[in-house]
Amino acid sequence: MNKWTSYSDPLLNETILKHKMDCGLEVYLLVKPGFAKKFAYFGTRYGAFFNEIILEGKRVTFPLGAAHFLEHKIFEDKEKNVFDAFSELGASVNAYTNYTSTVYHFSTSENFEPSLEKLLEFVQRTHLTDENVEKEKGIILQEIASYEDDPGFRTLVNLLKNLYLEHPVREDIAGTPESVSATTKEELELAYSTFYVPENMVLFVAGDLDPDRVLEIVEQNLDDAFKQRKSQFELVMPHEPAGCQKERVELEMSVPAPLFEMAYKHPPFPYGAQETLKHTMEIKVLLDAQFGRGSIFYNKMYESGIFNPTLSIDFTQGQGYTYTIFGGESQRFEEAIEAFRAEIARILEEGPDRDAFERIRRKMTGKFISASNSLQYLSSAFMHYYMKGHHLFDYLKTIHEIQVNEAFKTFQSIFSNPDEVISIIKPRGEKS
Amino acid sequence: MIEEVKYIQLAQGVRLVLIRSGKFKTDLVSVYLKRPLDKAEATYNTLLARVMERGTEQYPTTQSFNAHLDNLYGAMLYSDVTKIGELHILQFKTQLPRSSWILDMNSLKEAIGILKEVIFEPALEEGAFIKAYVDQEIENLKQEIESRTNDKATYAMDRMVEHMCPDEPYSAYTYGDVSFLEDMDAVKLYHHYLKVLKEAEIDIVVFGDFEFDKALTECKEAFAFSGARTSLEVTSPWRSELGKVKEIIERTDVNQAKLVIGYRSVISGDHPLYYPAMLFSTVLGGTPSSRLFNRVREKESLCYYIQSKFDRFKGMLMVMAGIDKTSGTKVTELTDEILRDLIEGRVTQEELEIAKKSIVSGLRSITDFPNSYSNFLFSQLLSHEELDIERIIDKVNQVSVDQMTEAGRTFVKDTWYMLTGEEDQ
Repeated sequence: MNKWTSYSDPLLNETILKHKMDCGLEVYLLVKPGFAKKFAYFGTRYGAFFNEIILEGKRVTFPLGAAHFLEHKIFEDKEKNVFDAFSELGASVNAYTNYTSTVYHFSTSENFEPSLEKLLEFVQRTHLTDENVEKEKGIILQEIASYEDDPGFRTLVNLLKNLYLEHPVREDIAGTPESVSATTKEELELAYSTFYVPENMVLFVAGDLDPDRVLEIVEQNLDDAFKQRKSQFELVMPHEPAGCQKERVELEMSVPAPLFEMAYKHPPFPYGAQETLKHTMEIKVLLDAQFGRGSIFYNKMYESGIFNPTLSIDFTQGQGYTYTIFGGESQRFEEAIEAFRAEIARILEEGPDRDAFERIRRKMTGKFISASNSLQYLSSAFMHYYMKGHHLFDYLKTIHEIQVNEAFKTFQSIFSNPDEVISIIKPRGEKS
Repeated sequence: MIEEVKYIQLAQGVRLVLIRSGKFKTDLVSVYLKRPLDKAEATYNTLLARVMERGTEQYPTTQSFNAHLDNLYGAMLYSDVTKIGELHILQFKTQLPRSSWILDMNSLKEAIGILKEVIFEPALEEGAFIKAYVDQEIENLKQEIESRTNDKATYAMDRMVEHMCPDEPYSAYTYGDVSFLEDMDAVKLYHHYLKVLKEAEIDIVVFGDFEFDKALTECKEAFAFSGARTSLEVTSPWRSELGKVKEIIERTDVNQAKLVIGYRSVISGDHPLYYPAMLFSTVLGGTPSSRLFNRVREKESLCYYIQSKFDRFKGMLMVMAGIDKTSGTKVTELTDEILRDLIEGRVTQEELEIAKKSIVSGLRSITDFPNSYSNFLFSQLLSHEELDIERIIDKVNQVSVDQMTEAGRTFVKDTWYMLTGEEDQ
């Protein structure tokens, strides 16, 4: 059969098959003999960034949190609760919404075929009524309320709100209580018909499976109405100027010790480009080499009590944004930030630790291979990279290819004079 | 793909489990040391876990030790504690990748070697642990224990247990209590280490693709534990005043209240109604099709999460929910009503089947994860329970609606707890 295009990763020792359906839906499959659990992910490129689009020449806006709201409502079915339908099959179903995608997924060790049919069915259809949209608001408002009590989440929200001036990364994925309360059935219907179209979606399946049988099920279970669904839209992303809202933002909560996050706002990498993955890996390896647990700097700071196990550094890039966060929980966060800044300046001047770069290359290679023991990890990593415009198998290849000299150039280009914001949650009653 | 498992008694109180499987790309070695549970033990064991991962005799600085692990293709070292029933478990694990192209490393040998160094050859000075490491980890642990209030859902569950079982070891927090860190030092901790090494019963689980004889020889050499070891039981005797339900409200600044209700049962460990009790909890609140989820969330929109959990070692059932501060009474009434319905036998065969499928699916997938399978075998050994997953599945599938409600009748509401905001809000 030549329905499938095959991609292999010799280091990972895995193969992924791809088939593009006539309607435009892309189907990917990872066969893993001997595994009990099977996984399926059905996703659309529609997430929290899609607040404004040009649809057939007209400007259309959606309330904040609409993608996440719609995710909740897709689970509403006419006849039977979707959760119940999967439970009856012995499968467990869930979904997530992030900035750029919404993904519905299930896992099961039996009844895979009817579960896949059910997944395809419920995502292809909606059952929105004014009443059930209204009813969902109570649940989403409780979800938002629970995040409000999470100091780590609050630190990050305050950080991003101030690091960016216009970019929607500054908004919570679930929206605000006001935007959720104001969301209407019509807005959700328009979002559904615009973004849940075959050309904009992907299906990923993994497990001990027969590829052709999977394709048969998919073919039999795509409705004509779905297959014919098309839409022409263009995402409008606001222009993000240089600079930040506020350099330092503080909030009081009942926390035992201060939580902090400081971030550098970098110029964004071109979204989905091959070089973006390369630059991302360069920075990730370089930061781990310089600041990770095996680094001289980290240990010097740890031994002096300025760093502790909660402190970490993370580099993040997405559509139109790129930032580095350094943060954790510490009484001595001012000293930690000062030391971090000074170390960045020192590296810019003196260059990177070349041996450490090689060591981290080894470490990240091994960690990825170890993580890929888990089919669940492989599946969610596949979706993560796919939605960012990359392929899972580009990971090890890129780790292998990057060079310390080029990595340092990338580092220099994004760490020279970046905008900086500090977000702090202080114990109630402590004033600075 | 069937795994081949062998059980070997290495010494008195020291057991080795070898699991051979070609399904994975790693070798995983886990060492579990069993200790009695109380606040002091929990604190000392946690500190021990933190200090022992700082360095070894061969790699005495934390930097050199971590760099060594990085060089072994990111060898994972896990050094931590956990609470199982009324035991405190100190555990050390290493996992290394094994790939046809990683030729410069024998992953199983390295994994066993790392654990041997961590457990038997820690970094020392003047006949005790390195003072600076112990002092730093005491400070870090203090902060870690104090910060447990940041995760409100978990904190509320822990607080409920503390109120429910104030005089029972079970109420000890996994990471202990800061008061036991006050007069701790490198010498005292080292004595605790020697005691643990001498007295604790030990289970070692090796999961990988190896030759049995070679793995056995490596383990015998590396894990030469000696001494008379104390045998401990994981399940606790039935304790309850069975008096009035304790009702506790605690206040802090939260937007969302956390409701936790605790129930006791005589069913734990090898009780004949153990599987029916597990199913009872699953029908009640173990899945998104459960009674609680369907009624309280889907029908009444009163929460984002609501679920129940059965601790098989303790015979304790917990219902927990994140709710609006004004909904406490309503959610409690609904929960009471649902429990009453289930206990009085108003359960459909369909609901029972759904619960069975959920449990069976979970059991079947254990062998897809080396760490889950290692932990599963360890906890089954701990409670002298069935080790064969297919036989457990048979037992689950045999449970009837009557048995399930019979198990349900044993649950007695003990403590009602709510973590909420200030009164006038």
